[in-house]
Amino acid sequence: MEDYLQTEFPHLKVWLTSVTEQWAVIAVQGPKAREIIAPLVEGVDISNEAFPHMSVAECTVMGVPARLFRVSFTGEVGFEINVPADYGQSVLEAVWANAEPLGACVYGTETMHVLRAEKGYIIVGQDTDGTVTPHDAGLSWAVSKKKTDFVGIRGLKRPDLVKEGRKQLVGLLTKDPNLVLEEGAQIVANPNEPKPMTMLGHVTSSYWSENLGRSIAFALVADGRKRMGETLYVPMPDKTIAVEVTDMVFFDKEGGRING
Amino acid sequence: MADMAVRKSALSGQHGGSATVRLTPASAASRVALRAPAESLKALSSALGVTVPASPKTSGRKGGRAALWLGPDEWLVIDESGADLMGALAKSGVLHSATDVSHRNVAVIVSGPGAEATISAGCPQDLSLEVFPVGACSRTLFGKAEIVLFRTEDDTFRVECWRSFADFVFGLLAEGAEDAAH
Repeated sequence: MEDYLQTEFPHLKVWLTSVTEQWAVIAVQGPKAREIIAPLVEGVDISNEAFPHMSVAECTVMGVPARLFRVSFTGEVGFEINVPADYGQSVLEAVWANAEPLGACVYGTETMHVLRAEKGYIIVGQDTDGTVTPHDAGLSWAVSKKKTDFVGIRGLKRPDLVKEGRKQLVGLLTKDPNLVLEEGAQIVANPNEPKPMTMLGHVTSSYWSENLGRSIAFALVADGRKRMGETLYVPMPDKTIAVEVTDMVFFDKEGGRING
Repeated sequence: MADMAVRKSALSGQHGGSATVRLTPASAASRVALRAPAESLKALSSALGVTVPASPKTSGRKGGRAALWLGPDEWLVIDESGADLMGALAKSGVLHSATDVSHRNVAVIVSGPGAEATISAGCPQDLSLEVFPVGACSRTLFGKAEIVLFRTEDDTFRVECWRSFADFVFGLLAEGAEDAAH
């Protein structure tokens, strides 16, 4: 942002200040998230009707100024409580005191990665790299068709970025549900092709999903969205793994859980 | 109603020093990262009640409040009593950007005859009184960490750093304090 401010928009009267360390953030996710945080929050109605998914409000939490977000990287009802950092431990302990009796658990980033992958939520930098456009990532809905200008609009029209055959993000399900693909593994259409094989793309994320009782994966695959239902292959040193190309939402496909 | 949240500093429980220098975590202060063009300085100064200086390495100071020059359009404003700096600046009526960073930063007060030598353990600047007098300030390096160094008295410095560097900065200051006693 500082780069853009200095090189593209020097005429703007804008300054940037990092507040990453000013705030402590506590994510409370799951069907009982509202019940857990409600006793601590004042100054905002957090009912599903008044504070739906993607809401944000300034309020107080345990008497201190806070920013409350209704967001989810798990696919469940979720809140992220932001408080000035010196209050983080105190608020976390209070959240846990409410959460533990309701059967909650503390979860780490690996769990978060699995939960987000079950829902088809990508990690920019893991499932994408600098060559992947929003359209490749299936995020065309987020790119304005009405705006006449925004950062990157010119690039998105360049011939190479709109041509057929680009690698697109898709889901992969192994034919053997117990096999978990290696992240980074290459994907081919014909495993019997003489080397060098035609490589269609690679696996970007791969996990065992306890919720689904099977493995799940994302991959960047040439023309991926036209290949739904196709069988492709992941050649490994000791075996070749058959996979089916699928959409990226593996769990709660209708998305009801996020709106509880 | 829920219990009030309890404030705990990133330097909570730290203490240290040696025969010639004392290391004390500073009490909770209000802090603002202030950005503004030169033409706003007069109004911002009167809103804060301290001079927002235009010269490098200088500060404006009154009581427990100080405005430290960090760059041509950038200052760190500190109020040791925790007064509402954001509110005061909002009334200035001139172009500026004020961001509350009270919890982003923590500070260690380094004081005593060994203070200068203690900080020199990790900071390459000339801290002699002639070059770095009382009131001088600088955004600089202490070991691997970015700090804002502020000389408040002949033998006293305020060392500000971001909270995630607090343990590193305090630890290196403690090492420097040991060396300064020899």
